[in-house]
Amino acid sequence: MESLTGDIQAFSRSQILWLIPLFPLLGALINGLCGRSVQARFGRRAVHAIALGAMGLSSLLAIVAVCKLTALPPAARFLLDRRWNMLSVGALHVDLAFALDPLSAVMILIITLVGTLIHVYSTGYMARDPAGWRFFAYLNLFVFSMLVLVLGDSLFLMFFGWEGVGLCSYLLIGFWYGDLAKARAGKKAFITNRVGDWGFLVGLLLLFRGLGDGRVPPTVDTDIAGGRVAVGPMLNVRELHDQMSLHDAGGKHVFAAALAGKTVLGIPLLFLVGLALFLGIAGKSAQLPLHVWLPDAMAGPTPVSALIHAATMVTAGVYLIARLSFLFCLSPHALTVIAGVGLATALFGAAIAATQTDIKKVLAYSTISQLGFMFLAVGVGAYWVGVFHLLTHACFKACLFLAAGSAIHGVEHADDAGTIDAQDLRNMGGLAALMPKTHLAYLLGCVSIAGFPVAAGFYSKDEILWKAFTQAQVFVPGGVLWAIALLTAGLTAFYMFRSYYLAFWARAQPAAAHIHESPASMTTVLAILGAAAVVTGPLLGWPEAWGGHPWLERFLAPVFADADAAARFGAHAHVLVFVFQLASVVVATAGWAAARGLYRDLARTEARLEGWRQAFFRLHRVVQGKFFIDEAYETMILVPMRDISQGLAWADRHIVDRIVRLAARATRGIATLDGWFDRHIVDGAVNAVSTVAFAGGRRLVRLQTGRINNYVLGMTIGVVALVAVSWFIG
Amino acid sequence: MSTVTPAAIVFFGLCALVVGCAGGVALSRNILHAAFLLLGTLAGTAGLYLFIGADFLGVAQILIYVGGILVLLLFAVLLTSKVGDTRLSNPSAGLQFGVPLGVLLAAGLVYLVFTTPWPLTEAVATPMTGRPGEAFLGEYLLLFELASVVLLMALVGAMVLARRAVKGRSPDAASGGAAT
Amino acid sequence: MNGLFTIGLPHYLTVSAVLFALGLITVATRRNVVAILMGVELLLNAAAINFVAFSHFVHGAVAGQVFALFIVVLAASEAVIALAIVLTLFRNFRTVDAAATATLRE
Repeated sequence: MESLTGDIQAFSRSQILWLIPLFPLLGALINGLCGRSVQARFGRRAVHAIALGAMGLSSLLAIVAVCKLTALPPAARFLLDRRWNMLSVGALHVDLAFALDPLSAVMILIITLVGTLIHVYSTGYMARDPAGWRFFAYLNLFVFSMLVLVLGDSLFLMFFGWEGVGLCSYLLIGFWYGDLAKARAGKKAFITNRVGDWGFLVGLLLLFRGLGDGRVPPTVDTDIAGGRVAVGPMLNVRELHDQMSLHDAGGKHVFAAALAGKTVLGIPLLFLVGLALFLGIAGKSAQLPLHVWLPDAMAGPTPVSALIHAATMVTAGVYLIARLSFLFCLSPHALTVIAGVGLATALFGAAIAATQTDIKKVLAYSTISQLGFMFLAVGVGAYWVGVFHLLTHACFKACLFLAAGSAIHGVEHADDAGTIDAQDLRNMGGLAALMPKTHLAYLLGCVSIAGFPVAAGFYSKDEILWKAFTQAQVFVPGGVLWAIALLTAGLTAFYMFRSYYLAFWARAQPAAAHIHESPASMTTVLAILGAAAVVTGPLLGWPEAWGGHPWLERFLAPVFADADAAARFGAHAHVLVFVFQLASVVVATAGWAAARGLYRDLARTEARLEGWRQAFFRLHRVVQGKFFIDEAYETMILVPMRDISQGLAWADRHIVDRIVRLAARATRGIATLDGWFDRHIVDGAVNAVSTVAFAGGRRLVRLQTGRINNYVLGMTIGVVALVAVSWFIG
Repeated sequence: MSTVTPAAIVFFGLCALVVGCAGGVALSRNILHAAFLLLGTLAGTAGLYLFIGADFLGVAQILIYVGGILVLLLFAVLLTSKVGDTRLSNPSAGLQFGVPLGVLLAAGLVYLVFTTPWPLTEAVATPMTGRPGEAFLGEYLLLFELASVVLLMALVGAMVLARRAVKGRSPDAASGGAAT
Repeated sequence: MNGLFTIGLPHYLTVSAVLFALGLITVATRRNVVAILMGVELLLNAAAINFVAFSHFVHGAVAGQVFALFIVVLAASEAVIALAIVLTLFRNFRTVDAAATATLRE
């Protein structure tokens, strides 16, 4: 093979990365194993101290590690902390190793900082729950798994974290397992994720198989300073990236081309890998058609919804595509599917969100919709924009969820009898004056997500729209993508302000006397997240058109170097950017105005709303019924499965059982014969043997004199005999 | 054949001492005599150690074995035997089997000694106390510390055994005292 | 080198073999427990001589001496414990005859 060269990732060693996930794990172990007695003996504060201490240490270490990372020159920003080899089977070598690059740096900061805030919030929110220790143990375990997922150096470790967050999600959704519906919701999330995880695993195996053809040596010589580079089947992301970037003097990427040239049954292997991985991603990130679990997951405590089902876990899919961007960029077809599904999910989620009456369901569908935006971004090849939206979404959606949780908390505690559904928007209303801080935080979140230029959501969403319009990679015209995305953005503004007005204005609150603001631990967190929901956008992504150069884009550029080189964006006039931004603002304002007009004062508009509901009865029913996808799964998959299993059960009872019974009867007959044989012939032989042994033992017992002398004499005879034998033989 | 050297005379003298005294230990009918003959064997062994250059070991042998263990054995003899009846204090049994067997064993071992090709090195008998000392505080430090733990356990164990005996004896202390 | 009067490894091993045989005879034929203990001391000494001799003539290092010293230490602990046991035995049976105290036989 002629001399190769490539863009090999330079890295530095680090010794602290493994400590970042370690502390949450320790916290989870302590609280999980002895939390009950700790809580009983030292009170809740001890449990909180353990969980928060673990999160605090982890955050501190994460910040230290990110500081160390940014101190390096941009191209060499990669910290590697290799602990030990976990597994070596054939070509598969898996190390327990953690890696930190700009992408995972963004992620661990979100996870540890938002995670810490949500832990603080939870101390207030879960203050009355007797099983608080269990909650914090699960929450710490989740943070551990999520950190392993983003810090893992190899796809194997990432898969471990991927499954870990799924498990924690299940445990936390079903946290109040006494309620059957909530336990079922947990089960549903778990099983839906299983379908996705199957895809993930298939994708990994296909990729692993595609990388090896048995002829390539494990390493090749290169012209690069490092010398040898590992090639062939591997699951280590960094080495995989290096392998893909190897090219010869003519600029031909040898290994990437070999991988891209592989087919399975005539279909390009990379397309299949991309599809299979995206199935896993759709399961975890609640994209069509595996989104069904996320709305039900709102059965869990609200901090869980904020941390897992808005800020971190559901975005793991975006992270995975960004992490493997150098692979996804090799298959434009897979990217087209991702962008298409993302866009469809965005529109679909927004449409459903506009009809829901449960505030957490609104937010859940909003999350699904926003995740769709992220997938649209990474699908058209704007990876950093996807991560940017992930970041701003983590801030404003966590803020929205926690504010909603605060409102629910308030309504719930005013209702001692527990007769009303505290999450139902129809039972809220008029909270603005009663819970001013919560109201303000929710408003900030709404402004941010709706896309007004004063807050973070505008910067990331607008960048997505712009990239979708200018893209030239995906096999759908950019204008179509842009138009649908813009419509979705308008819907977003409408449904968010709808929930805002329904919850905080709309009507006079009947239980006003009993509702008061949430404790300081909750409102402080709301204030911090509300601020973050505003400032992160302009701070990290000041648009190019406004004379800036987005900081996040520069920070992430080394990670996406290869993928960005493959992405194609058309050139358009600069003025178009301003036109588009204006269009976004107009659409957002229209959405807000419509929501305000319809829901600001229900007494005035109730009749008109009801009239429309009657007029568009069918449409409303379909949308409010979430397009009946759950029901479709029920009739298409669950019912046939049940029928088949019932048929099998009948076959079991009537056919298999009969055969078994026949066999049993035959066996009994044979056993009777056998028993006779046993009693009279076998037993007789055994008794004879025992009689002989007994008689012999009685005679031999005399050898046991109990005198040391005799034993030593016996030993001596043995030794002398051995020496004599060696004499004669040797 | 080499000539008789003074060193060889000393060595064979020590051998005679060791073997002769050990024979006495094995066959004497008086346990007190056996105990004192054991002194000769132990001292002879110490001489053999010194002869080979293991001077620290030789001195330790005398200090611990002769000064400690032998005295303990004498205590045991004096506390338990009917010392007055010295002729019968140390009976033997099965000498007709034991002695021939022992002779056979010795003969076999000596045969093996002379027929085995030992991988010999050039040995220099330089008396040195430093090397064992370094070995104890270097390579064998853990064993050294463990040995002290073993000694401590032996000490405590002996005390426990003796204390229990004293407690058990208290009801008939008078008669026990008279028997000894 | 192989002369009778040039002291070498076989000389030491022979002494040790004879000592060992005598120790074994003692242990095998004596009826007094204390005498059996003396036989054990002879056996230990024979083994220690072997260690030292091998270490000196074959290995050329100090390891054998270290082992011999450990043997001495173990012999000391053993003697202490044995004395305590012998005393207990004597108090219980009024004799130290090994044959007379074999009550575990039945």
